[in-house]
Amino acid sequence: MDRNDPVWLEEAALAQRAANDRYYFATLYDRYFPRVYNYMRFRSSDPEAADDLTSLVFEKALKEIAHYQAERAPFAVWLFTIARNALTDHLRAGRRHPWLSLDVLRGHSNSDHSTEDALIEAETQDNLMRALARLSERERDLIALKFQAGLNNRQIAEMTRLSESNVGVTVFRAIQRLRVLMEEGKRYERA
Amino acid sequence: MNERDSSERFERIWEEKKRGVKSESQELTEPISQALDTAERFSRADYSDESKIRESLRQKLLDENPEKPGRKPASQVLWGSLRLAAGAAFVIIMIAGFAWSIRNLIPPQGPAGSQLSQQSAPGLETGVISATVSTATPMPVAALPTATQMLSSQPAVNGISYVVQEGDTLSYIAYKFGVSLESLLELNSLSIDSTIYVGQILTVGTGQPVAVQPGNGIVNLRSGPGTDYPVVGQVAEGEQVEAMGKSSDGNWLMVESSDTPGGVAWVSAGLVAPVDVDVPVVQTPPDEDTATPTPYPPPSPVAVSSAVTLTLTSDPLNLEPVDAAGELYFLLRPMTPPVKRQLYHAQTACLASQAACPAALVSGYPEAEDSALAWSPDGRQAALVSSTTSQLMLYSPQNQTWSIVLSPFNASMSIALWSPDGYWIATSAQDADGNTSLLTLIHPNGEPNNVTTRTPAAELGAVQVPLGWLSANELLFMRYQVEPKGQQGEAIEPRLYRVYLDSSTIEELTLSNGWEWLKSYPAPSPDGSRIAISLPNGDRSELAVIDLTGTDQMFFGVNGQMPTWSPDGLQLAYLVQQADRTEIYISRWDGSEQRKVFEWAATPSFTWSPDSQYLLITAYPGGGASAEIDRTIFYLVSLSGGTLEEIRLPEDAAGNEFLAPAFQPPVSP
Repeated sequence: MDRNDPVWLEEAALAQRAANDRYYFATLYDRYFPRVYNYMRFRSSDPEAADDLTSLVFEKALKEIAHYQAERAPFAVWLFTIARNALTDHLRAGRRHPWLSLDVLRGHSNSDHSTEDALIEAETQDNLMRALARLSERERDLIALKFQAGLNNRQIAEMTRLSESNVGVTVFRAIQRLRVLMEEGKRYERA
Repeated sequence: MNERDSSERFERIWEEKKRGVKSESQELTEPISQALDTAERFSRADYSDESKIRESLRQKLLDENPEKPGRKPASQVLWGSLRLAAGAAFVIIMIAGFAWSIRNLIPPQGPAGSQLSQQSAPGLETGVISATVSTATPMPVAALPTATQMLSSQPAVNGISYVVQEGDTLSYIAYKFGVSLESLLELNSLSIDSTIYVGQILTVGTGQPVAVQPGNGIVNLRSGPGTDYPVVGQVAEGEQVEAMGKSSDGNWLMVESSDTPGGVAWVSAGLVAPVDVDVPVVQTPPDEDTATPTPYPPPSPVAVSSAVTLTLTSDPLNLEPVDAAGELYFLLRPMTPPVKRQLYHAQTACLASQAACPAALVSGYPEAEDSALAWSPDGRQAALVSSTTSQLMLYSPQNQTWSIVLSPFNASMSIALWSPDGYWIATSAQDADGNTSLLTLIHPNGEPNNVTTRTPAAELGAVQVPLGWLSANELLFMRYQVEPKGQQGEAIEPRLYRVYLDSSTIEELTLSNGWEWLKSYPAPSPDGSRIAISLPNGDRSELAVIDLTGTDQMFFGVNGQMPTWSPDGLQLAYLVQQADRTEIYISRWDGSEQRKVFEWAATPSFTWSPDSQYLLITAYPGGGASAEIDRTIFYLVSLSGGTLEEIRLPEDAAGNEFLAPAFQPPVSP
């Protein structure tokens, strides 16, 4: 554990104050909202579920922040442990119908972007989402923790109870597959 | 450099990059530099602008007092005290002679949970509230007014009260007690918008109290209406039970019994009084004679008892199509690039019985596709709805050729359901703007894009999903609409319809308890007479079978999901979610003889063999006892043999995972 990590120390101080002063909690909220939201989007691929789950995570975090022990784990690890648990519960409840993805039904067709650049951007994001949807649950979890939550392999290993090298290999393999799937996606979009 | 070294190198450079440390500019291997590039793009992707709650949640968190006192809605409160006191999933309070004292004790709208628990717990102990058949204190019949007298003199208090539990909804409670939502609301002076609270007492219906007639001693409760059903409990002479329904011949009464699966049991109507209780006729378990054409299989294990290793070959295997279990078609997908899928098939009977089985390659499967084949009932062709090529394709095993039926073809999901006569393929085809997806019937005429199509419910619009054929003329489908992306639009709750093709009639199936059920994607039985459904109830999913000819319903009392009929219509397979794993169960279609056949930490899926003797299970990564299982695996359960086998790949194909299983029915002559 690197206790000299400036981010860790700063967030520890913020979290300590946040227990008594909402202003500091809001600072952490602003910093982590996109990361938690994107984590939820990448794993559930349903915008409404991502909103609901993100609220759940921050409401829980606010309630529990007084119990956060900075010397045990960085704030990000603590927060994403809450996030993962919320998501696990959600997926367990929602996986009754694996063949029906609301995201697919929403379609990728209508777009509120008007410029061509925005359209290309949106297509790339849709392509990314489609590629993500082809990864296994576990691969999605690990790479979202890695590249959205910004955790390192050791922290992810602690959180998921996998070995550190197993996390490393899975992440590396998943990111390679993601690349292939996105290439394929682009090919079919052009075709 | 091996994969582990590469991944460690990747991790080191990525973490340095994150900290803004310039890494020493040495040569990076292509996989690592490509992975860094993809990771960079991925970590920049940000969807948080699409969130609708970012500002409002921030405001809420800043404002909210976390220790806000007061009542909380039923679905959010953990309320331990009454649960402990009651010790059962729900408490039936029988309103008999003590009705008024209970009424005085607990106001109909229900106080907050903590107050109620303090008051009702002593009541349970002293017998004011008789909780269940088995724990009720026997009461001499003479000490009570007869049921008929009580009903006529005090109709207002006749009924069953229910203590609202965590996770309940009004429609679920209505369903549970077989009353309409409207009458539940009316009985309790509630409106559809009312919030109910944990601990609140609701009057839920019009069950009728009956008592064992003097002179009969102890009377058996059975699992079904007849003496050939097993005994599941007993009632003593003079004891009262609550009758909920009767058998179609009126000889048996269905009574509340919290100890038995489904919360009900059957008692012979001749042994209780009054004899002519006014209760509805309910669905009964099937007749033993007609429901048992084959001996029921022995219990199956949940541990892997053996494994069969495939031998992969590119020679076409022209196996004689005599095996009633059919051929298993499946995909192999490489774990690492290039991820080119390949379609194979092997004989199911061989997989079930031998240590090595040949699996033959089928060329021509779209290499990026992950969808399973949909076999025609005669086994002579398979449809493939391909999202990666936007095509509807047909595969002929006899000629080993693929043909394009429709191109481009945009399906909203990979569904192709053949009609029982093999004429139509039912699917859901998306329109150009992607908001509408109509139930579409397609009959291929042999040439590409030369098809006969029907959209029998076009005027209903929205998203239509075929669920199953009830006969060659009747199709069950679901219709709903989610809010269009990036727009405010109308959301349509899922509803269930039946379309008759000959008359083009569409009928909405409003099964007495309404729309709440349809979120559970009903599965029609092969003979088209019933639907199996899973009802969300808080964190549970209640499994039920509904008779389509009436509104009879059978409630399994099982926390099951994804009910799937065996092709012979006699069994159901379903999932049961536990805290740390998912189990697969098989039971008779009426819910009896439930047996666990498999468990896995990640939710598995399954498919029946055509002869209903095998279940092929797809187990996804991360679910085994060892977290090292990083790929999708197939298991084959043999119901008659009681075995569970893992299907393995030979060494030289070990870098693949299994996917998209589909059984080819035996080819009819």
